[in-house]
Amino acid sequence: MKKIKTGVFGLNPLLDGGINENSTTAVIGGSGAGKTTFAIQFIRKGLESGQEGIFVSLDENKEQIIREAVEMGWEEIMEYLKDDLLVFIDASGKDFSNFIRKELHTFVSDWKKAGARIAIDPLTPVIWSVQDNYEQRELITMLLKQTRKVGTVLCTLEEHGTEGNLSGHETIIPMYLADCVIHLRYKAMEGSNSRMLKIVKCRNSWHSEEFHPYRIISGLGLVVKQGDFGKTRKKESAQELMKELEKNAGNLPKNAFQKLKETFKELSDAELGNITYAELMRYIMEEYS
Amino acid sequence: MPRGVGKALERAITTKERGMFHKEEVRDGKSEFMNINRKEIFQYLCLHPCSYTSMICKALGLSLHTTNWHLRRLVESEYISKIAQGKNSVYYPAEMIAVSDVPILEILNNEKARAIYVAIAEKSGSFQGEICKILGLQHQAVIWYTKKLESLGLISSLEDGKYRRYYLTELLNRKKEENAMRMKLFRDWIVKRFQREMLSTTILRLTEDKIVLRIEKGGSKAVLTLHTNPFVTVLS
Repeated sequence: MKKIKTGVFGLNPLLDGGINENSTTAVIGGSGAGKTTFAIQFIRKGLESGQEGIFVSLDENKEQIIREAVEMGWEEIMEYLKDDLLVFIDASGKDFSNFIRKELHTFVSDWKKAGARIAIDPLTPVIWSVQDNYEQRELITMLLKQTRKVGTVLCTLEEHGTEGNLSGHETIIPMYLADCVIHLRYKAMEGSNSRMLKIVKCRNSWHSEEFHPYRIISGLGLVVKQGDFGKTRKKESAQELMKELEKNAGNLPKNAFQKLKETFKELSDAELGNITYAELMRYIMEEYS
Repeated sequence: MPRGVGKALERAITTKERGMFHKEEVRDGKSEFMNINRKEIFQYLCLHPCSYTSMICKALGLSLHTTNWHLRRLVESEYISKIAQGKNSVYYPAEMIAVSDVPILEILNNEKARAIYVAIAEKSGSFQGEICKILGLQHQAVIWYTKKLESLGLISSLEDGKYRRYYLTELLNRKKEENAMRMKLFRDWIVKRFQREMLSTTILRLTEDKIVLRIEKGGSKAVLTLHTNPFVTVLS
């Protein structure tokens, strides 16, 4: 899968290089967590790489978001707007829901493979515009399935209710349906160390499972502290595993042996977590005995 | 990668009344023109007959899919005709023009060809280099379009030393006059066609080359502004 950079400093290695192209990402967070800033950085990176950007705002108006972007050091946003490479769309939850139901399919058939970056900030009003859970699921499924044909999509979701509890009805359905889910945990009363980013899931990609502190820095936007994951992932275990695999070559089917050899080449310590290479080898041999 | 996806999405989301389908629309005697998109496409074709689908999309801000759907409906109901030009097709209101005039109107719908024609009209005897300079076009483009315009009889050329100079012919003016009878036939045809469909038809305004009509049926109504002489409007 081709990776594209998120535009958020420090985040890409935590997603093994970035987010998958033509995937959908949900960024969940409470008020002030940095969701809109995240979305702006995502769009900006795309524009710098030659992709068109679409920012669908269902909450703040366009002028406010542009002001925030300029404060983040992105003065050239006005040029992109003038050339229509970046388009801001103000819409209500109901308008957007109607569009998804009636026009999205036609739109996608005209514009698939446009390779754009689309930010929907926030998706919450769309979910609220439909009462029934089944209808909500249908609506969000249609949205995420179709829009990814047009480009790479990022939706922000408001976190309501108990902090850190992502089982709220506004978040649960998009979390299941999105390819990648990132949680921005922000406790406003706790002072400067209260912002933590966690990658809840990322389909078809390795990702960090740790909590990473992040800050919103004037002129830069979100900056994520990587910790140990910032360095190249070590592959010491991979070498040990290869040795064990070679020892057990005779006890494995030929195809399985080849497949495991290729897999172990790419394996890193971080992926094994607290599973030792000896344990892993034992589990594999149990499977093939 | 195709460009313009942002603007297209903005139009699709924010244009409230436009939609491909209106639930109440059925093919049981209701006029094709009660649908706003279809009405606008027909009006556009009266102004610019022999347009390609892409031109209509661009001018009216509609998607390709929506435009094709409405064009199909208008062809099926015989309000417009379709004729192949190369790999694509052009559309024009039925009864409005002679088939032999399609190539003339088709080329003058092209932005560059039209600009060249107008440039020659403004300065008779222009040569290629001058036209390139005034319009900012490449030589090859000017050569191609002037050849085409000349083959259709819209312009003529004369060699003058090392230059080839271009002049307008009387063809377009002649067509404007010759079309006067056809305009009247087209107006009569459209009014009779509406009446045959049991639409209450009122002519609100009638000029030499435009008719404004109101059609009503069962509580629905629409006002159509139809230009009737394409040889007048083709250069607009």
